[in-house]
Amino acid sequence: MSLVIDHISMSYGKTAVLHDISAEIGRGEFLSILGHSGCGKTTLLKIIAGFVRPTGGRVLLDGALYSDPSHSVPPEKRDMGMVFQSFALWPHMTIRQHVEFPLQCRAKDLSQAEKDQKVAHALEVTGLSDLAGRYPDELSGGQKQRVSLARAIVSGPALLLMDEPLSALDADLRISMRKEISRIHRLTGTTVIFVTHDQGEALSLSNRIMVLNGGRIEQIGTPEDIYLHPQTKFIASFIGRCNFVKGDWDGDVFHTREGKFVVRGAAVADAFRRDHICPIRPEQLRLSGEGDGLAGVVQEKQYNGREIHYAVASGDELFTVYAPAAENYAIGDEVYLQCR
Amino acid sequence: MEAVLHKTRHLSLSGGSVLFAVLAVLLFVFPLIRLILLSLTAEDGSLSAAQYEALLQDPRAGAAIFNTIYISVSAAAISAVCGTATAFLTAYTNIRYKKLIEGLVFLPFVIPAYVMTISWTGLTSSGGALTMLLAAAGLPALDLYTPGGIIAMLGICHMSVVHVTVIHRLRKIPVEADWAARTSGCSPWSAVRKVDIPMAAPAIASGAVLAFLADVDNFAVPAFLGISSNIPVLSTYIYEKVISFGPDSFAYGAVLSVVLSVIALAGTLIAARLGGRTDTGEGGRESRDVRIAFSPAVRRTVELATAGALIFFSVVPFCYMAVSALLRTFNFSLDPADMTLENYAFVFTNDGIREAALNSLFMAGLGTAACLALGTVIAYGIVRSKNRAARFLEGCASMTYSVPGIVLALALIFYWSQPVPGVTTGLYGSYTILILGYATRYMIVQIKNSATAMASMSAAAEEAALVSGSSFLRMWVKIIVPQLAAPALAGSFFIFLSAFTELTMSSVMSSASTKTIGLAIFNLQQAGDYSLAAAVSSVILAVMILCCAVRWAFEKRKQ
Ligand SMILES: Nc1ncnc2c1ncn2[C@@H]1O[C@H](COP(=O)(O)OP(=O)(O)OP(=O)(O)O)[C@@H](O)[C@H]1O
Ligand SMILES: [Mg+2]
Repeated sequence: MSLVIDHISMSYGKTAVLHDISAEIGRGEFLSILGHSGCGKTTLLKIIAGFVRPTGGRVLLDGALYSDPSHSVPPEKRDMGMVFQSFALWPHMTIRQHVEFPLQCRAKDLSQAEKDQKVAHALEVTGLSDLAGRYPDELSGGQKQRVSLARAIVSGPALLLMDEPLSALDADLRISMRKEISRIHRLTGTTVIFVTHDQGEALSLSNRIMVLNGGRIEQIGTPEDIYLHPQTKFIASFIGRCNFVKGDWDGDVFHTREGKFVVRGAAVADAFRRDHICPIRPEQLRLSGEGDGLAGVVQEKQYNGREIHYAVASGDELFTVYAPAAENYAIGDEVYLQCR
Repeated sequence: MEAVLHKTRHLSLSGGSVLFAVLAVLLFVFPLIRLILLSLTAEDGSLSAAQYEALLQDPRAGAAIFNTIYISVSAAAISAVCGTATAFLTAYTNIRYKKLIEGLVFLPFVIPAYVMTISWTGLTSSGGALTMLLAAAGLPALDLYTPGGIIAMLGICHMSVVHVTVIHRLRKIPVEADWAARTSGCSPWSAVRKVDIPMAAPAIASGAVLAFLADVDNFAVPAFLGISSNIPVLSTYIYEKVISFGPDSFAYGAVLSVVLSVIALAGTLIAARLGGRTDTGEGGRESRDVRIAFSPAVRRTVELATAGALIFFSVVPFCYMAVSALLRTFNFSLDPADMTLENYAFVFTNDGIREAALNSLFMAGLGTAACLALGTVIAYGIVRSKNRAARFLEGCASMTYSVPGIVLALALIFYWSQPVPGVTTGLYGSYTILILGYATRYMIVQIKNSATAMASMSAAAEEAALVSGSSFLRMWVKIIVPQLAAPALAGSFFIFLSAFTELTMSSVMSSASTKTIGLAIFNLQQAGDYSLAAAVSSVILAVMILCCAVRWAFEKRKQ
């Protein structure tokens, strides 16, 4: 049983925002929706939450129809919790009141003791037990987002929706909150749909990533799949850095015109073969002082601790190479590029 | 050279500071102090609390105080309920015609309260259309000449005060606050009840306090509805005392004024204490998302009910007034045989009316001009020179705006007719004192308007002009005036309309030869000439609509 997004499309008036989005999300899965600003991530989430009705397609949870163009279960009747980028806390309520709120609305048949126990558990999971009596304006940004999280999970919903929950936080806090979210996901086992424009968040948190581009699914797959086997040029350059080497494909073998640079790439997608290019990640390239490979000159160099980032000019192309710190070249050195 | 320039400018500015401070004290502070002193003065000029003792003995004063509070609190409650409802509908729901609805909410506030009152008394008079309708339905007639009538009138007139205060607050509540409640399992209406209303509560309360202050300040409504039926409130009781010219009447009027000011001040203090936790951490962004979506049928019903009620309250009476001024008798009919143009002819041929209209035009015009000139200079002092004396003056000027109008009028009479004990100026009853009165009352409006406009202008252009050798005066004429003209005149437009149609101040400040148009209507109404009062009011209304239309067309063309 799962959440099914079935051929969803959406347009506001004449502007189409989403085109034919389909996916099936299994119970307990953590799916990230990743894409540039304005690609329709929030719109898709609003459709799943029931705040807007799609102009085409259906949404089903565990077989029950949630949305289609003529019918929509209102958000309050959907078995879900939601976390917003702006926290969306209520300034007139204490933290405890925030966490109790969903139980008052949803779990009317629970006894007071059971409710108290659920509230205490949600507060504890999010590390808020000591702050329960405070008001939102007495909390830091990270604490506010934890309140928002506690409120979303307290009633144990089947589905947890998060719209860029970490974007309003500082860089350091973002990293530590990632761990929190991951831990809470493991602990509660709810299905999570996590919208972000940060590829680091998507890669580190998810079971699967859905990459949207201009309202279409560009690729959907596990983080490894997306990173190692990008299906399009957009994906390859959007997730991590990528060099595109020009040349020809001969079966599963790629080589540049002069034949100096050869790659055995059985798994490379057809889109690249058609365009006569081969995607190569910076860490897949190796520099050597002599021998075979694509000749180039080191243009830039950035020491990065574990590795060194080079920019190497070859012909009129610029390649990015991440090399172990032990292999040290100077700017201006003549080098040869090979595939590891 | 540079240093010299700076020095002279600095010197002239400190001269400006002295001037601002002196003006602040002479024009705005002393009159109010004079009023307080007068309330503490015995007949022979010595200090005494005798008048306050008299107040305690006076049952009518007790009744006036009670009525003022009771009527104002009830009217503020009506304004709060209606204003919050219209604000909610326009801010959160998917109804259409929102512009129209907001316009209808503001109409009774913009139109002079006495015109509103006259139009309603016509509709509910014994021969009025509403009375006939009610009679046909077997219901008793509405009697507006009761506390309930005054409360209803004031409640409608000041509902827009609550509406504006609340609508901004409602829009500033992020839509995510509602959505978070919805995803927690709350229906749209419970989300409004549990989240939006508590978050907007401080704004509703402060809107209600503002409406209360406007009710306390109001003179026209209780004067038209309460004097003949013997329902005194403080503003009308002060008026009765002052025009009775009894031995202690002025001093006693001063005591009543102090009491009225204390009530208003109490309201202001309550307003200042209303805060609450409303910070949403979202800054000032206003959202216009629909939070309550009505189904098409319900939406149509809500639209019809809202617009219908507002039109019934604030458009129908005016139309009825304009038509009933055509009637020979008090009984409503649309038969041409019952109609006459006599009442309208009276408006344009009667010397008294013409004189009153010219008086109002002249005095409101000069008062507005004084506000425009001085207010803009003061605004320059506040915004550009960051002059402390100018800020002080601004504070004093907002004091004379928040004091009830009748209190200010009385204070100005005492002060200007005898600025220093023993020196009589003979200004009482002159044009000058009313012009001074309008300038004192409305100065703050112009200061605020010009200051807002000036704050959005770049100081760099002015400095460039000064550096390039323009004199200070030329800089004003060439740089500031052209940029400032449009927004500053918008403030003046409001001041002029208010002064032109006001009744409160002129009711005690005018003499027979400086009667204003508002006072002329008041006298007609007091004499029982409903049709004439209705005709003059209709003409005023037409003139106001014309003014607004011209202004609107002017602004449209500029864009
Ligand atoms: N109510 C609306 N009416 C018209 N267009 C809209 C509306 N809401 C969103 N859009 C448009 O739909 C597109 C997708 O918006 P959406 O908010 O889903 O983007 P997003 O991927 O969440 O972007 P971001 O990362 O900036 O939050 C945008 O081009 C936006 O302008
Ligand atoms: Mg978004």
